[in-house]
Amino acid sequence: MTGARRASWTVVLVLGGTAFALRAADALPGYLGSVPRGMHVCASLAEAESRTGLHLESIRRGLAPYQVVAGSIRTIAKPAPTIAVSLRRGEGAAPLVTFFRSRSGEIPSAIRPALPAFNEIEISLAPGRAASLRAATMGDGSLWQDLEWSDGEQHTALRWSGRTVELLRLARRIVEVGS
Amino acid sequence: MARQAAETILHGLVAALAVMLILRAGNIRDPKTRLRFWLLALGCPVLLTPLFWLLFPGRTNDLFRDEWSLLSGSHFSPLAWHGVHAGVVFALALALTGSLLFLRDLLPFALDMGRLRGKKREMALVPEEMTRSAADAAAALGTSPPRLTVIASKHPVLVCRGLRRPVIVTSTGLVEKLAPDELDAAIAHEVCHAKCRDPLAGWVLMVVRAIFFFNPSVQLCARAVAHEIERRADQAAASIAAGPESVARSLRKLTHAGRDRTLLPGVATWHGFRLAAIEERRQALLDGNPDAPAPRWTLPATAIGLGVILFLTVA
Repeated sequence: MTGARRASWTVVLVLGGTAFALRAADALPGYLGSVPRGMHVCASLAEAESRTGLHLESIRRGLAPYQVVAGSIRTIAKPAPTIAVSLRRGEGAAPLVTFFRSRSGEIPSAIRPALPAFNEIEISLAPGRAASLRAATMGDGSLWQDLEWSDGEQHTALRWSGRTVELLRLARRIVEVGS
Repeated sequence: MARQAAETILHGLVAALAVMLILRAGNIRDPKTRLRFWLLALGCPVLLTPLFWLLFPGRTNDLFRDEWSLLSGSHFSPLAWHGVHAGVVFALALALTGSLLFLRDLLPFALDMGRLRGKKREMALVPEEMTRSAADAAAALGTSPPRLTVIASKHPVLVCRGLRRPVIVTSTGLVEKLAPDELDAAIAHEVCHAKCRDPLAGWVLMVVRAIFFFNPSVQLCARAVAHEIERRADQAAASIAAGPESVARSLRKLTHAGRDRTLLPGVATWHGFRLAAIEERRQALLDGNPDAPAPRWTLPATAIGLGVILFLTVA
């Protein structure tokens, strides 16, 4: 191979390889932490609010007895700014509820994996505020429920593994708090 | 500020690694071409990265990071250990490495400067053969002969100093130590430094290193630039003086003489470098003429490619 051809191939391969290596390195945290590209793990609710432009008073006040699980505050920017936060009843307890809110439109499946629901009913949370409640059993036999409602463009959902009556109480408090 | 510092470290590492691979895999050995490539690697974190901050502040927003970037530091935020992010640990470790590299080169230089302060030097007459040698070398390089100064010292001293009008400083010990052809080669080497205003380049490099003291790639690229400047002078000396063997022999003699600390700080241009680097220079001289320079477009192509890659890399 002549010097010129060798230099050409070297430049192309090295620059292409560099771009590929950077892209692979960028994907590494996603592989290790199961966090897909585009999803951010936030350190605090305030950071999540600034990233998504959503107000999360409903978590601070509506879900007050529950504690945010460290490292569980996730946001995505596309297709709509959306937040997901897992909460539990006390230190060391298993996560009981995950709160989702999208600024506009449906909550993307990238942040809320679909549940294989076996039952879906409509429930009223407040006058003129209907919500859909879906129930699903997981592989380990546990029962999970998704309660979802919208307020204009904004969609909110709770994924819950406790008693249904408590889920509805929480949802009504969130609707009362408003934002 | 910390993010900007981390970005210069990241960009510097990417640029330095890419340039190193291109030089090695492309078997580019011509010192002038290598010097340009290393200057490119040095210029990326020093000039290009700050330019990105000024012209494209939107590079740091989430949309750019998620949709466009090749690598974004924010994507590493889930990797944490006891609340300390992996990215922060990585950046701090690199900053520490950079600082140590800077100190390693700065301290001997500062010590020499301190030792020199207030010391009066006895000057000697410039030997006629040295004047003639400098004039011949300058004529062959197409420049005017630089001024010569000779110190009365048994230590061999040879250095090109002065920012505006470079002066070649030598010693009587040098004339005694080197054979005539070796002296010609050594003087030709320094005349090349004077012609290229290398003392000024050396100070600019030092200032850049001081500003980016935390950046390991800046420290290593600056060393590589200095090394290629020396190789360029070696090559010029070999082409105009008595041949590469004379330059190689004078290098070896001055390197070994340099072990018993000489008194001028700038003498580093000859033997302050690591012995391995000097041995590499000797070997390059003895191996014969370097290959033909790489095609002209390789440098601009690398610069454009690196520019795009670094634009898409956000700390």
